[in-house]
Amino acid sequence: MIFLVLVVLGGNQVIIGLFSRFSDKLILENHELNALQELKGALGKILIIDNEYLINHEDIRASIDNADRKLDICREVLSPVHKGETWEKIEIMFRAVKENVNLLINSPPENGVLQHIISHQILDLIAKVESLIIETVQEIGEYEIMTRKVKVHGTITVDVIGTMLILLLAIGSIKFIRGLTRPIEQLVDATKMIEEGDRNLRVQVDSKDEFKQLADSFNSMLDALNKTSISEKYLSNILNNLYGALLVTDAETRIRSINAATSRMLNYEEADLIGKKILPLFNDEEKPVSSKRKEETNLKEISKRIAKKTGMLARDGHEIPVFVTSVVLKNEEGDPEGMVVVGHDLTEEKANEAKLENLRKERMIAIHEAQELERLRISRDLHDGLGQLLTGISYSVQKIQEEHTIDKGFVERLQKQVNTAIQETKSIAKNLAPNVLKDFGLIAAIENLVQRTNLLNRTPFIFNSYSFTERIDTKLEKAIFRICQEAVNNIIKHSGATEATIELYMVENMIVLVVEDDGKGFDIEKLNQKEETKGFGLISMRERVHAFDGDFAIHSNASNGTEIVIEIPCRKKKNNGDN
Amino acid sequence: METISILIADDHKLIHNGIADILKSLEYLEIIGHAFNGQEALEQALALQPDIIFMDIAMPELNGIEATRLIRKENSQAKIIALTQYEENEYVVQFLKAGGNGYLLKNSKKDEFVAAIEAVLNNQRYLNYELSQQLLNSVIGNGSSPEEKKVHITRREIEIIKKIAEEKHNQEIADDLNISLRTVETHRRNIMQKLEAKSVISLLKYASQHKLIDL
Repeated sequence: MIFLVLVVLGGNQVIIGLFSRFSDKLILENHELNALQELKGALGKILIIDNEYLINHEDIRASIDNADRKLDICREVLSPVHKGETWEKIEIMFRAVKENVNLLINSPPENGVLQHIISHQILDLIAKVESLIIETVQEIGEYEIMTRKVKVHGTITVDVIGTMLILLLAIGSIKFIRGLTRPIEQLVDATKMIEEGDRNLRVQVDSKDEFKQLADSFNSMLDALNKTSISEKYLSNILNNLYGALLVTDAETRIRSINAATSRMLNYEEADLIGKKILPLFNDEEKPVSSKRKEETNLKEISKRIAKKTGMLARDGHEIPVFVTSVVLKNEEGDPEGMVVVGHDLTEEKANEAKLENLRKERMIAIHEAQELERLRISRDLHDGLGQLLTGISYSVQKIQEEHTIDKGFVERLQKQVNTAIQETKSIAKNLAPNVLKDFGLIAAIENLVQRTNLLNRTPFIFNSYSFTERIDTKLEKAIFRICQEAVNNIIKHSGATEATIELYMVENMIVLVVEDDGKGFDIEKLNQKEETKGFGLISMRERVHAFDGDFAIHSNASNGTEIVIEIPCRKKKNNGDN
Repeated sequence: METISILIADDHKLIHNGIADILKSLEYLEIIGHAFNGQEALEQALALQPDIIFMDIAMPELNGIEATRLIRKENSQAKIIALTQYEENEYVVQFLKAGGNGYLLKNSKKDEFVAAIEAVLNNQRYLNYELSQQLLNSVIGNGSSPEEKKVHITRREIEIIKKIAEEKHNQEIADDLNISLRTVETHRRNIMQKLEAKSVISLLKYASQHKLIDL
């Protein structure tokens, strides 16, 4: 750069040097020309005076002196180049003219010959001066050409060098400007990318100027932003991974944002819900609100209302069981800004609950079945073991009676006692597990129960069955029989009824059992609360019914007796030889 | 008198001994076989061709009723008398239907045995007095008016029919009677079914005819 500038400057210096040399010479030559021409003029004047024939010697002398002065000037001005042979001849000839003029002045007037000689001499002088003038003019011409050449070359050189200089400057300045704008462009790009979400970006600036500082502070701003942004990301990540649905509304209860679980749970796209009122999602509607003041309390009210909800409506309209938490969201001034609603999906829990309930029912049936089996075992032992033993004893007593002549009255009493023992054993065995139920089914067993009950007790029981022809599932038969047994026992023990009916229906694949009496009745609530043992019969009845997915209803009041209505879905008897 | 051969089928040895003791004094009877379950009873009945079989009902493998049915298929000659603790009509009926000839309870006395044996040998069926009474009662009803097997309508049902006659809806009936709606619905369905009524009109017609309601 500097070198280039030096070259330019050097070039200029050379050109300027050349210029000044040639222009100096030109000025000099012009002075010479001037002096020579003035000399020629002065000489000419002398010639004019000479030609008019001098009247006055004074004039001649003056002209000669004038010419002499001009000659002096020329002598000083002329360069040594021109003071050659010609100049020396001019000096000599002028001295000769001066001598002749002196002679002429000092001579008598009208010396024509002398006058004539002087005229010739002057003409020669003029001719000599003329040749010098020509010489000078020629030199001036040469110098002018030289100057012009130098001027042309100089211009070209200066133009070229100048252009080069300008180009160099331009390149230099572009580089310089680029050095300025690049960091700015990087910053702009970085800002754009951050706007698009890339927060891990950092700006790299190589320079060490203010731009570096700017980039550094930009980067540290990004770091600071990222620290808060990470927690934002963290939070949104948590919210989106929440199992529960999260909805945020504005003060007008319009949905402002939802999390991923919401759209997953309700099968809505986010865009479907944004801006919609929240209450319809809970199968509810908002009543119109009049004033602003009311709106605040309204929001609280709606929040409370939502918190009580147990279901949310999915897109297809089916209700999803949820546990809802709802709070009013307040801004820094404490004004309600909206609501945050969290709904925890309970579908699985409900399903588990149902599963558990089914399991409980199955277990209940199993327990009852185990109980039945145990009763059956005891019943068989009584019937087939103790009963047969007693029968055997009875036969033995008969034999004693026949063969031995002992006290007949005593043996008869013994016979009676044994028979009573047999009857009692049978009765206990029957109550434990009625063989008729197993062998002939529910209707026969209840008929039998009623028959035996009517023989032994005051309250007459009426039993009727309608469209009940088939045998049903043996476990269900046992359950219904036990319920009847329990109901019959309750009526006999507590009601004091004058009549009781038992009805059994098969209606549309439902088994319906209705037991009615006209007795004292009782307060079911009190019974269930107060004495566990008393209500136990009812509780076990209800449990049996529920175990078979049935419905149990009991109505009782003092004036109108008691009715028990039981409906159980029918289960057909399975042919698995359960006897 | 010709000797009468007897097979005893019972799963209890004690009963075998007891029967033997009771029949001992009757010299025309000869116990020729002892079976301890239904299957043995069937086999021995066919093999020994007894005149009379005393058959317990509750026996392992094959019960007395089934054994009787199978024996009757092969051998129409043997008289089979149930000797059981089961006194319910169902057993009596089922046993007689299966081809049994007489039905004795185990606590029977010697004269009943003799009566039963005599009856069946004369090709009659035998039931003791109590069992025949019980069977009769179950067929014709407990007591006084055997001619009409009238549909029994309960007090609650009459209440509901009255409310229906008052043109009340089920919910109103439930509220009035202080019972659940479901119970009312169940009762209505039951009434329609037991009266075989196709509509409320036929229900009310029946109710009016039987003076259950005043129209």
